[in-house]
Amino acid sequence: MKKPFKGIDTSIIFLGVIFIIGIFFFIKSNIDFTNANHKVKFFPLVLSLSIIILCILEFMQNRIKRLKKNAESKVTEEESNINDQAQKAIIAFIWLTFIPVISYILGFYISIPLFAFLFLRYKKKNWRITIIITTVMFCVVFFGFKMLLRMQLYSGVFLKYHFN
Amino acid sequence: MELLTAFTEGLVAVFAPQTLLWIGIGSIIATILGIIPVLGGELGITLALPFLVGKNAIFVMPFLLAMDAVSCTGGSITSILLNIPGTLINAATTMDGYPMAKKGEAGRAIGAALTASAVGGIITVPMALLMIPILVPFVLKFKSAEMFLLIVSGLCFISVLTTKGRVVKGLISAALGLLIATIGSQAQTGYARFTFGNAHLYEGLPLVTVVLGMYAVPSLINLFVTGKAIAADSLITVKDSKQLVQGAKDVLKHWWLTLKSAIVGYIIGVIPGIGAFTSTFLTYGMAKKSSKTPEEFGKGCVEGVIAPEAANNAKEAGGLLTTLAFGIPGTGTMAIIMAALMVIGIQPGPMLLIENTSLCITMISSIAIANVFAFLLCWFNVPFLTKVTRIDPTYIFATVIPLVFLGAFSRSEKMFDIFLILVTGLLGFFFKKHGYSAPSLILGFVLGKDLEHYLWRSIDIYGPAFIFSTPICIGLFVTIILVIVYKPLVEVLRKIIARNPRGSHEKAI
Repeated sequence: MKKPFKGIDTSIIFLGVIFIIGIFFFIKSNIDFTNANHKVKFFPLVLSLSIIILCILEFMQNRIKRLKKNAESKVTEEESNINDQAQKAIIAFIWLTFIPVISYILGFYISIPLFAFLFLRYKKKNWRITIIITTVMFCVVFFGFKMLLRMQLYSGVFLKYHFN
Repeated sequence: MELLTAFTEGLVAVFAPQTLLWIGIGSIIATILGIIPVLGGELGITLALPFLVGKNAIFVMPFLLAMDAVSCTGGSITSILLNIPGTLINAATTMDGYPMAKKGEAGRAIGAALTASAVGGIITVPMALLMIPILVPFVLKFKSAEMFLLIVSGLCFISVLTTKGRVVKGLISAALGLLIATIGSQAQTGYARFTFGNAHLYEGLPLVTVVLGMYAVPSLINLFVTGKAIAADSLITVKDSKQLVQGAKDVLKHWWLTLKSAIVGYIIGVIPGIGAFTSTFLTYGMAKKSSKTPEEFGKGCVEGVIAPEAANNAKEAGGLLTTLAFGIPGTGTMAIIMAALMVIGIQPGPMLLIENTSLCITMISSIAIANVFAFLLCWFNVPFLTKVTRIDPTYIFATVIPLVFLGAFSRSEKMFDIFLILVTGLLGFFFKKHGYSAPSLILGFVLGKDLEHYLWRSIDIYGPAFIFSTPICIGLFVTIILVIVYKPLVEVLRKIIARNPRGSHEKAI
């Protein structure tokens, strides 16, 4: 199976993202606050410029280190482990995304127990424990948050559309 | 007289039944979380944040501090039984704790660790309390210019401390935090910056959501990635439980070592930028040097357990004092404690010690109470606590992740916040993965608005050269420069010396 991060230096990509954020804020400060008080513009401008400079510095440090290390082109065992971990992290993040998306559609009362149920089944946990934890999660949401903390939990666009 | 009244009020508040109850709950949660290596008290504090809004600071802060102060007490149990430190600062305990467990002295090692932790955590609290009257007049000298430089120095300290010397990454993190803090309406002019027409952003990004995303989400992803429960068969037996008393006697026998280690831990806690990790290894080294049997170290020597354990709990009182008096957090958890103060409506920084002295005293005193709770809890429940390590991380992920999202939603009741968790969580994950500093970002975010406020006030009062306006300012400015250049300078010097091995400098090194 092809590993998703083979040969890609994710630290440089992440540094690039921070650099772009710096550039974006720098440009935005210059465009948006042209006619505003200098106090509005100064602080974000200095900070974004600092980020840009620091990113360039970090990039140079990183390159120098890599050149010194004379990195091999082969994927070592250690790199394979990193790839496996990256794959697991992506899966974890997909599960994380599940809650906001499903909560938006179905609301918290359904999405939270549903998440617990599907996740435990995905991890092949036995039915008994899965059902117990799913029930506990529903009780936490309904009795803990709604009844005890008196929170107005979001009920989802689906229910709103059908019952309003 | 005012100070005396504040002391009395603070101490009375900490012994109020409700405060004791909150401290007890915090201690129980932190001890259990401290035993599970990937989690720790930091996650507990982060998860509790959204539910503390609007609560009384007298109960909330002792609760959070209890979680911070005793998480390393629980962590010592896994260090000894499984050779896996619950938290990073328990790493030194493994060096002799685990060999003792292998020799059949697990109970003795745990007894010594728990007693030394409790003694270290308790005896340093009066030291911190006695420092308050000395600090108050000094803190009163801090005006806008000093405050600006103090915040910058705090950011520099935490950037260096939490990135293992990768100063540039730390500074990027802090600058990013400060930049994120500019989102929303500016205090001085009321001008809305970087809101993109979104009404949710006018008040800035919600602090709780950013903290949850930066801390809780990466920890839970890490838990998912690492996958397995850590414990196999290393449960403590009845025989080991009886040895606990022997361990406590060892601490009394080595009382001077305990006291010395606690004082060193406290001093290191007070000085921002050194870190608790250093204090445990430093005291371990000191114990070895002063021991009558240094050859036994590393093979299961009880002194090797006592010294780091006394130091790691002792650092809390010192670290908290610096955080409260100067607004400089010495650890990542202290940065979250500062965020917690803001969440409950208290402005962290030097004025906190002046305006809320009794609260500060309650907070510092609660550390001693939390240590007593943690000691009793661990002492009588060691067999149960070791079973906690058997909990499958799958169940933790399945139950805690929903709480993170519900916590974020509960703060503002806006769906925007739970989508924001995804963005900050992703940022936090990559921060952790690539060695950036989440505490620096949080601190920058927490203090960003104040920093800008003090900058403009200082310029208005002293002009652009405010950095050199007072001796304190000059001292702070020099500190900032030293903190930033120290590590790179040492590296450059080391390289120069290495290139010239015949030079006399090498001998000196």
